[in-house]
Amino acid sequence: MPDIDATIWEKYEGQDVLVFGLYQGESSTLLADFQAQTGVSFPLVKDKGTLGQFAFPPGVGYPYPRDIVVGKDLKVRSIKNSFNVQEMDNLIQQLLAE
Amino acid sequence: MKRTRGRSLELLLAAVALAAACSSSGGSTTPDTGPPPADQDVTPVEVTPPPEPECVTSEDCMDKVGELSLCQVAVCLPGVNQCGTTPVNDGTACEDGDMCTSADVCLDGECAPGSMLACDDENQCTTDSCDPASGCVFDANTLPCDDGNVCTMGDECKDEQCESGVNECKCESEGDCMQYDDDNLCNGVLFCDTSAELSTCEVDPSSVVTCPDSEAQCQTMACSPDTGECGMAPAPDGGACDDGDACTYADACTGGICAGTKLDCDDENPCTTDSCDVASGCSHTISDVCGDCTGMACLACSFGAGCAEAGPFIGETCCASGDPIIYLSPGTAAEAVDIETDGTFVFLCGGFGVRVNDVSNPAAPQYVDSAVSRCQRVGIGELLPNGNRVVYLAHHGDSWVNSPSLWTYQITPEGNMKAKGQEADSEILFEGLAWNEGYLYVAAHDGGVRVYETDEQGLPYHQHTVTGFVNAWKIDIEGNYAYVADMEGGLKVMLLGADGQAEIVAAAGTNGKARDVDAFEGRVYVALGGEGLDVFDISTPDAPVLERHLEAQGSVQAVSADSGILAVAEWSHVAVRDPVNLQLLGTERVRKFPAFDQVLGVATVGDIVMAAEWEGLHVMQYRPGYVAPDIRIDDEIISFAAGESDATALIVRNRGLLDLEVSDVSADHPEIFQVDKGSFTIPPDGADVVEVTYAPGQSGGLAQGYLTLTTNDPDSAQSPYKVLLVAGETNKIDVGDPLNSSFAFLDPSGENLLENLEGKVIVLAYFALF
Repeated sequence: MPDIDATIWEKYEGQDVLVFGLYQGESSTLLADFQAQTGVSFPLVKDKGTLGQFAFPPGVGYPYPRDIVVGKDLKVRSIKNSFNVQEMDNLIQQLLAE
Repeated sequence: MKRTRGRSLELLLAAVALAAACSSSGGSTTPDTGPPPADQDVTPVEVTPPPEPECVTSEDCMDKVGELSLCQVAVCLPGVNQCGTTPVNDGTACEDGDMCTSADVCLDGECAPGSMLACDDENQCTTDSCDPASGCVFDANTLPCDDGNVCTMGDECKDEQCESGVNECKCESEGDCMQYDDDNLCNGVLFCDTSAELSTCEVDPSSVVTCPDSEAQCQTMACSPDTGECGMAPAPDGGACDDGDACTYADACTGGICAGTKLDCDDENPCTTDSCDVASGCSHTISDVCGDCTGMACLACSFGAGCAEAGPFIGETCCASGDPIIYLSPGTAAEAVDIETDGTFVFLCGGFGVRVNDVSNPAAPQYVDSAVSRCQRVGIGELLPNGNRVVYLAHHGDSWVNSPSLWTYQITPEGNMKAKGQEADSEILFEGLAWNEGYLYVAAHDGGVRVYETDEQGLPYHQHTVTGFVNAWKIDIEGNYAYVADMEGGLKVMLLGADGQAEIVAAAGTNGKARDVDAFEGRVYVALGGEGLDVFDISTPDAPVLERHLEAQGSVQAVSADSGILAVAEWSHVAVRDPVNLQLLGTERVRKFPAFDQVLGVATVGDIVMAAEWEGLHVMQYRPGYVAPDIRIDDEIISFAAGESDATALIVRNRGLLDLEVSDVSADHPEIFQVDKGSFTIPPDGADVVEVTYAPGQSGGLAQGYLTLTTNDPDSAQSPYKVLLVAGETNKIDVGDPLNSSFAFLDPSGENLLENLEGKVIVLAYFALF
């Protein structure tokens, strides 16, 4: 089960934290299978052409998640291509406190 | 550098979306208009239009070409992979349907008549002829004949026998007949037959000489009138015979000698040496050394399947004009990043697990099964006695599936994946896999290389870990050595000992980050991403020596050399190189513009090349000896700042081995975008520049369109070649910048208002993206 579901989505449920899983056009069958296998419970939303607006740092070669954290002022606060639970948790707590 | 180029493509495309949105909605950014980013799958997957291949090998065509003549065989036509026919070798025996000929042979695909039959039954009372439908015909006649007795007059044929006429030689004793003898000792001696009322001279049947049949063709046994002895004499000219020489056809007797017409064994293929053997006829041997292709390096014809099968050939060379890599068929994959094959099945790991295709017929891959939710590496294990093949899958964990795992599966001969075991450990970053003789070696980033002993089911049991790696990424095994691509540590060589012992015995620096490795026949190939490809000489396995460094036009993600051709996954295309001299022989783009290739893995089986492209499996066939022009444009998007006149140089390269003829260059919106040339020729390995000018005029200049280059490149995915022209905004959102209204679709209220997101901390987890 993805850490982001347990450590972020479930942990901050009911607070002012929104988590979106953004996909790129995969079929509904594929997504349903993926949800069933990974157990993610936060919403999966089809990206409508926004990802390319982000100035990503050079990638490491994997087509795996890119995590972006946006503050309450709707300003981008973090763009990562690797996931560190503690790092993201700390950032969310900091942003909630602002 | 190449990787960031790939990134820039998607960013620029996103900018295009913005620009298009602005132009269509009065300045408000509406994300639903304009083309999507390159890696967004809203554009239907486009692949090189496959020619619906019927075949890969000629065996596939046995029942697909209708009725064949005796002088034709079914073949898989190269280039189009369609079934067709081709003539058999001249001189091959056939039957022309004419029963009056014998020893018919094939010539230029047609059955040519052999020798005419000599229809002679040596009976003067039959008329000899030949019927093409039935052969020799001997019709009885009633013609005058000679019964061999000079005394009889008016002999006539009846019932195929010569009946004697009136005997005019009267006699009373033997001596009376001597005056009538013709002195021919062959046709018998006269005697006085007194048995009748009126005695006459008759031929003594026992004195008639009958010669035996000749045992020598074109010779006959004949009686000498002077001696009455039988002797050899030439048979009549034109009679059928066999000279025993398979290099001739239409053999016939002439003056007592059997001779035929010489076969022409020239197959008009400069890649073959033509010869004729008296026992077996024509033969065409693939040349070991080809000619020197004019204007290009000599292509090796001796590896792989040999020379090109069909022309038009170029000069006195082994080269034929045609696409060196042809697209056979797409297959099934899902966000594929790695690929392996056992020759029957191909396994593609990616963001949605492994997808398995049956590629026993490469022209028509069949999806058979899938497994696990996410993996990034696959390794082939042992073939078990029950016919199952062990397959290992690895996932190093990520924010979606944060449980690093090493799975053991077995695939049945029918293609079903059977789970056998899983090792999950959050501390181990499972990466590249290689199995060899009872041991599984797993690269684990800074955790070194883990060595497992495998049991009879293929299940791995950890034995020990080899340390000393910075970032162990991929492994390949050749002989007793394992070669490890250490991402930040270069190439490392491990000596594999008995009982799973392994130790690092050598290391060599690489010209970039090592992300894939393949060892084959004295060389190790190391993929270096945007830095190209390093080739090491490992003739001394524990002392690798950098032999060549090859620059690539794409970002080298993976390499496969195990089937005797060097196939390279270069992100934007697949390349095939000569395994000996490393010359680039051909490339294939698997997705047609505006889709971009993201080729991350490659596997080969013989001349079949299989690419793991992000969107799917793509199966191609390399054709040795074929050469073609091959266009390459590094920058497929030309971007101008809206409203600011500017110009840029578009570099057009020819990486092929024939001249690239650019017959037309045209731009959409010619009132805004102009080019300085319309046609030109680029020699092999050359380049030319097209200057593209942007003149916005009074309109504000927001525009997008295509620059289209029409060329003679045979690769349909890049002919014509299109380059995106954009004049618009190119700003990116970085840390500290606000989201714009195009993100309003995230509004959970459904009102599509960005304001509704204010006050919330938002986590956007993009998955399945680079």
